[in-house]
Amino acid sequence: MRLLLTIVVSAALAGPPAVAQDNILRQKQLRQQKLGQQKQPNPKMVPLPAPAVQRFLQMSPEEQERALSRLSPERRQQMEQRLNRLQQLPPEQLQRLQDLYPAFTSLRLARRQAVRQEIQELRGMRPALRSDRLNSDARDFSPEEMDILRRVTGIPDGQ
Amino acid sequence: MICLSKNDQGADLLASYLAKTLDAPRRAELDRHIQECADCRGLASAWERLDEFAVPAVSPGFDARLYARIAREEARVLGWQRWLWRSIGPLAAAGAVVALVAFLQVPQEPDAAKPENKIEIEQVAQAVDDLNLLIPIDR
Repeated sequence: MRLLLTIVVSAALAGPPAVAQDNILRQKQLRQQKLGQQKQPNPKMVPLPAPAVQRFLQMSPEEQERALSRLSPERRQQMEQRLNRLQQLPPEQLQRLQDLYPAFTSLRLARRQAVRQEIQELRGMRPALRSDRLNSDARDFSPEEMDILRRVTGIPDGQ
Repeated sequence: MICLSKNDQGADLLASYLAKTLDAPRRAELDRHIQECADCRGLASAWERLDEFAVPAVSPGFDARLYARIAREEARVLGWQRWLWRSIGPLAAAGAVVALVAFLQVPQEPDAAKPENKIEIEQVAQAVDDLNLLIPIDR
């Protein structure tokens, strides 16, 4: 590998010396920039509230790849897209997730599934109809669950 | 009838007869019977000869020699056992080490086959799904 690198560098230097040196310096700068971007986390980035996801994000690219390879191609693509979306969320939305996710995970598994389904229903509805749906939901959901539903839909109590 | 060979108590009777502890009427009866019965006569004479056998005197130091010999025999057996343990012990230990190394060197199943890893990435995927679901809806 070193020999190959030496040959490549020698070949590059074999051209006009000034141009070659300029190229090398530019390449070095670009590499430094990329490394700096990769290593320095965005100081404003709010960490995701899910510890499992946070652990995954802290894994090396090779480890992430190995982990992702265990998912089916469709599931992997879906997860990557959703993870990208999360990482691009504005800090205020991430902050709201910081409060919402622990409340959601504190529910029992069966209730979590019920809340998931309800949120999916609410997401599929026209905004005007969501309020009515939420008011009728109060019969089937606990106050804690209703709080999660209201915070996700942004519809406060009494509307 | 007092025939020694046909009486359940024959041995006891004979012992008492030879020891001269048998009561007089029975002793007289047995004397008469022995004169008539060849089997009982032979039996009585054999016992009498046994009584006449002179036990040789135990040589001096017999006990000491006997106990020394027993001790030597026990030591020989113990020595053999120790030798066996000394020979087999290291072999057994070496075998155990080889087995342990072989166990540790057996190629582990790839991570993909480990259910806990599979569960972990599924957990991550589920958490990502949930986080996406909980993103507040834009109004």
